[in-house]
Amino acid sequence: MIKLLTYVIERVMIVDDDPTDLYILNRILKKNNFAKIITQFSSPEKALQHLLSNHKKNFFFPQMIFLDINMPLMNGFEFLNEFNKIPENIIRNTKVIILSSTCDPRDFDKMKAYPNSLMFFEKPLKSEDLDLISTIL
Amino acid sequence: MVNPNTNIFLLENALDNLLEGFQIISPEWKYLYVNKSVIKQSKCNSKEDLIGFTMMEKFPGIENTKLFKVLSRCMLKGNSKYFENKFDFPDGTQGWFELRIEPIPQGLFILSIDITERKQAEKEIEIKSADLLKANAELDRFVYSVAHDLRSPLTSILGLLSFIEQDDNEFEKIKHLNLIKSRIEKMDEFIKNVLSYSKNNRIEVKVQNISIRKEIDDKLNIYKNLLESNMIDIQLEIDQSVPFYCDHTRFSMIIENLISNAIKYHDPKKSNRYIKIKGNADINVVNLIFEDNGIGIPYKHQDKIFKMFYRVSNQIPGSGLGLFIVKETLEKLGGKIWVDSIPKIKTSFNCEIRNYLS
Repeated sequence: MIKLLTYVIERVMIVDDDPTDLYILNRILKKNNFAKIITQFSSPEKALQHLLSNHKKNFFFPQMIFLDINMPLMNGFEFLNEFNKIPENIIRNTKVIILSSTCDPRDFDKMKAYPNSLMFFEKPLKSEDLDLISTIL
Repeated sequence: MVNPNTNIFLLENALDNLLEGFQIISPEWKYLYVNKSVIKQSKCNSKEDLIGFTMMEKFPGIENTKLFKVLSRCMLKGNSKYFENKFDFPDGTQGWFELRIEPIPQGLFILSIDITERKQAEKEIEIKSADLLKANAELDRFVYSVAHDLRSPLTSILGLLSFIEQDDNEFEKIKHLNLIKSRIEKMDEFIKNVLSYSKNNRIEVKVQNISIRKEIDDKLNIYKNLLESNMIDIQLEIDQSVPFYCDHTRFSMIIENLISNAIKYHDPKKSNRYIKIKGNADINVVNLIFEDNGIGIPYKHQDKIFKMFYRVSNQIPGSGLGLFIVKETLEKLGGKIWVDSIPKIKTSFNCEIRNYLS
């Protein structure tokens, strides 16, 4: 009997400067059949370029972005500032999940300022977290 | 019967011995009476310098000051007033005075206390508390950054451990164990960096005679394998004809950091990779240049690379502390560091270190 794989969502993007953390999250998402297509970026600037060029080509946008905060050159918030400049109708259906090991209260304050940063999870993401994320889709 | 003149003499004598300035000003702004303290406070030589003159004659421009406005109002309405005033002397200096102004039939009576020193002390306290606030904010930032950088390898390790728990595949297990190991090494490196930052702040500078050549050779020896495997050529031009006195631990930390950076940021695309270390010493300073033809530093980041926790690359691991500590340490040693870099072509770190010989 052929077991049909069903995914929670189609497309997910991961942005994290740390290659080990990219690997860990990618593996968790795969093990839980969370997304059909996972694109990974260790550079937020490249992730942004990818999104910008794709939206002009009218490509399918990821439905979810897992975003780290502490990254060199461009941090998660700077990424979000640029991301939010993309027209509303394109980013409307993209949920941003912040995934970090920060404990700085200022980071939590900043997160509140972003309407599309829907949820915050502490690293490492667990299977239970994915269940919770699924409920808000 | 007491001679009334004796009474006046006694009174004047008492007034002259007051620490407070005591003066009477006529409605025409003439000095009618001043005691010795007023002479001192107004930087005059004698009572005759003031008495009979108007305020405007002695302090041109006083009619445009806030002080004069207050005095005019007191004179006109017969008000009393108590306040602190900053006074600009004709010689350009400034003084602070606590003033009590009372209307009297002859005009105004002004009691003045020189509070310049107190004001200066207050100003110093203000500056110091601002510094403290800044230091506190920096410490706060430091604590959260350190906490994050300590937690991040731990959270990766937790993630990897959960894989090992769930996985039966031996090959995957070993792969994950190796990743854990590298995270632990990263964490250890970070803790060492934080400690060397703190050491630099707390431990006194202890100078001893140092051979620059030997120190550099020792450090190159530590990185021998890395240099060979990355095929990086070493060129040394060390010219030390005078003894060099410096703090050994700090000096060695500085050169180790700069050498390891030059290796870390080598350009794998280039075939003739090199690190050139130039050094020369005179009795006052030692100049060291660490030049490499590595990946270089983009111009927009060059002024920020010495900042705490600043990282330029996400491809090359680092805590963002190395160059910050190097800069802090050099400053502690009475030296400085600056960078010249052409992105993708070359980078040179220039150090100037005080020679404690002199």
